[in-house]
Amino acid sequence: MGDTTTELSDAELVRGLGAGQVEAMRELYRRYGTLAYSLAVRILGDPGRAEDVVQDSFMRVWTYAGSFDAGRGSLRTWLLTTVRNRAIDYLRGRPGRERRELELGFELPAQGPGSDPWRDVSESLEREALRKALVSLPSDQRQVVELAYFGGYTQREIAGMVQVPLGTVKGRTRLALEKLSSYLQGRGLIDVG
Amino acid sequence: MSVDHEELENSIAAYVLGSADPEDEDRLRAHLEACASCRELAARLAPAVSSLPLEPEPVKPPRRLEDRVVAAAAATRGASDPKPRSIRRVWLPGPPRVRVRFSGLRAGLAAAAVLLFAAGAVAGSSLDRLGAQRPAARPPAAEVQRYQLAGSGPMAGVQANAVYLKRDSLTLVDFKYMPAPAPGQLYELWLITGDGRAVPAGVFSPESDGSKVVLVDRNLEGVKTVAVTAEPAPNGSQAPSQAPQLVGRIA
Repeated sequence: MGDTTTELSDAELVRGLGAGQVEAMRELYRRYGTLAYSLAVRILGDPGRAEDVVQDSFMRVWTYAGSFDAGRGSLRTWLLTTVRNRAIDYLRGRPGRERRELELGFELPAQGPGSDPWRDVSESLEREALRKALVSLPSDQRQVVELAYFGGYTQREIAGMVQVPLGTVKGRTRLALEKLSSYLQGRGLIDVG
Repeated sequence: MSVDHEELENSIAAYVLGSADPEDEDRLRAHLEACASCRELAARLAPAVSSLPLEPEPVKPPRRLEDRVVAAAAATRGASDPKPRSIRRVWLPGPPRVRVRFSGLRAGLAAAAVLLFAAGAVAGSSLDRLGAQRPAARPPAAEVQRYQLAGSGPMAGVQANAVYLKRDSLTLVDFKYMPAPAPGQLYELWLITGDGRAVPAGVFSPESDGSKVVLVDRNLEGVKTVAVTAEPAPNGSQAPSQAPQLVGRIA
């Protein structure tokens, strides 16, 4: 595959993974390795464990590439969802999130082909917008998102931690996601179809 | 819209965020299948959740991580039937090389330790936490030591975690992503003492998915290093015939 792999679409890359092409795995890592590792470190705070989580997550994509439907979502989302769930499982001792990783069918549009510089710029813009969107949330809504997504706490656990009714936590979660979605969509960074 | 349905919609948001309570997940999944407006809500919120992994400041991974990932993939290439990890056999290390048969309490301890690996708990989460869910299997925290082995060359992608149940003189080494040994070879586990003596601790071949759990039925007093080499099948060697490519130091 060589240098041409940088021009492959996600769908083509997945086909290479499904065919057992190790170079496709290397290309997958080069595209998303830093994102995956950064996410794992953010959740775990432990670089050693983060390496294991990233390796496990890439191996899951490698093993189940044949199950991936590019029409339903992006490869990046699948991989990073796996990283997040694996990291939370390590952190919270709660295995068993595998089913949802393949089930989630409402995703970002699949990423088209593109060079590494463009991907880096695109991710940087998305990161900047996301951070602005998070900062713009009321602190109680931002807190719920951070505890849930990066801390791996369930709604009931969060309600206990912040000492508010469960229904309030769920309401804050929905409001936060609605605002984030609206903010990112308004800047053309996500397409909710 | 009913109050009940609004509550469900809020729960759907939590589900999309990966934060629903486990006891609610089946109900929410079923509701999503039946309710078009909630599917629409989920589809609207999910892209924002998909952007959240970009929030962390980028951290450059160590160079070895790429090697690990690629080596692990190469190690499993050709596996005819990749399956979720399972523990199918447990081997007794060292001569005589026969299968382990425990009785009584030791059988329970070994089974509990194997269950911990099977649950995926040992590699990263708290042995004590899982033990708390299974009180009968819970070893005292001070009696449990964990070690990691690091690979190089063809073993760069291998994950190997050892748990030493000190009081019971049992060690389990959990291997993942092991490449298949060359024809006519298998892997041999060594316990290397402080004076440099390599004690054979068992031979094994990984499963088709590269996994294996090896049980070492002895204490680790005086052992400074755990290592793995490839040796001739079926009995291995009495001394390592090559430099180990998988090594872990016992602190």
